Amino acid sequence: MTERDELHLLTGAYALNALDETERAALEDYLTESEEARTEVTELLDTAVMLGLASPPVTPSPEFKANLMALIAATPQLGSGVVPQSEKDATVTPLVAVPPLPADAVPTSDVQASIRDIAAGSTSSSAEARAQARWYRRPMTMLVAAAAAVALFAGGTLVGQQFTETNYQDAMAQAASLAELTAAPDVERSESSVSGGGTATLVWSESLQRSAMMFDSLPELAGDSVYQLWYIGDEGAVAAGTFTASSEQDWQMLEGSMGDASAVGMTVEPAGGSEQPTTNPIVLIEEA
Amino acid sequence: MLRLVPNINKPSEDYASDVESASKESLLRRIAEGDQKAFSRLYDDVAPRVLGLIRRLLIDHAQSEEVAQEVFLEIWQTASRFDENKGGASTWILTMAHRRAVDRIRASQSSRDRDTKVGIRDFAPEYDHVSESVEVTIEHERVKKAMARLTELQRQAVTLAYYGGYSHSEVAALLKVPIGTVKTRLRDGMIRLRDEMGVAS
Repeated sequence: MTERDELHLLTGAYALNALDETERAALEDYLTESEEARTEVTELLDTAVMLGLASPPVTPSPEFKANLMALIAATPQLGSGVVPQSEKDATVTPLVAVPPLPADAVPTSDVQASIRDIAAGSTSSSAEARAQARWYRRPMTMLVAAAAAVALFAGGTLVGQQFTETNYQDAMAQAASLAELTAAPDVERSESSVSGGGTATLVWSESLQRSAMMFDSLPELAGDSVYQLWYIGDEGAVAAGTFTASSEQDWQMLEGSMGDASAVGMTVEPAGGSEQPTTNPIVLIEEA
Repeated sequence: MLRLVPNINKPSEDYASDVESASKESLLRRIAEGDQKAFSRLYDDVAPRVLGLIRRLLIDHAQSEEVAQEVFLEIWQTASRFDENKGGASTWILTMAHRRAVDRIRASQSSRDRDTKVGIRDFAPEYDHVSESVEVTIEHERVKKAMARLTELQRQAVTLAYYGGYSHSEVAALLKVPIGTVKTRLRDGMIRLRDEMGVAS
């Protein structure tokens, strides 16, 4: 058998990643000169992908994606072009490493606030109810019961949004901030449904005094409306930043520090946000 | 801190293509230009498959998430090197995921030793048991049928190599057959699977 025949026999093992580095390199050299082998390898790689797709899918946690989006926002990309041989097998090293959440970081989700319960005047003695009681301490919030939920559906459009130079800096800062938060030793999380659709996960750290809200399929808002986050404590609601839904960043750091806040809420507000909530919260999660 | 509010009245021009026909290949082209939104969409499309495959090889969830993170960062960083002429986006991504999972297995020699002791018994039955899991993919049925057409040795060799992450020499040791035989069985086994599943370019 010639050396080429020997190499050709390795196509199956190559497609299965079963070769050692030396053989792998030898086969890749051989591929540059044999079209027949290239075709075979391409087909066997596609076959191997079928084996991969036959594995049971595992959906990563929302934090996993949030961490990742934060990471890529701060990670430069490689240009195209010819790759030097020495670089070919180099492992790509991220600028910052964010450890994934520990496997035992299970959602506590004992707070399931929804606008239906609020509208129905649910008086269960849950954490949710306590958070609601605090919320209703502000007379402003008695307005427009379900308007927010309606507004959510009215503008279900996706609008392309690219980072500009200026907000790129903000994105970098937010990314670093989220990475630090999710890596904090005392990080906690709680999940809740969003009235109008989707789910929200609040992640917070007492020691860092910071919180972030993560979303799964948060709708775009109609008109100039924005989402506004609030820290809610005994003194009522304190504005913690506005944002718009965007599929390129489905998390948001809260502005300011937690202080004595015991819950975080989110409302739909006119452009620019409000000093106090003007609609009922579509998400209400207790930080406890 | 505040995000710029997009002007709803003027949707971006690529709105239509954005919502409709965004193939993974076109998403990769946009990712290569730094489009984070395209990355987010590609992630949503492929993440469960990527993590599912890695988890299948590594078993350990925390390690699997670490490797999946490496893979997605690599996709972000090297999207410009994706070459459609060499295969589709799914092939590029899952091949990368498989390779990184295998790298991880080979890098941790201690767990390797443990696995080698456990041996083949834990791998072959595991394949059949996948059908009992909550979510079974369409591909699983196709692969299962095609696998049934292989000889016992082909099936064991392919399964150990792909799902076990074993090198051909390790497969040879586990199955107690000469390494040359393993190379041949891996190739004719894969060719048989290709033909059974109708995978051809």
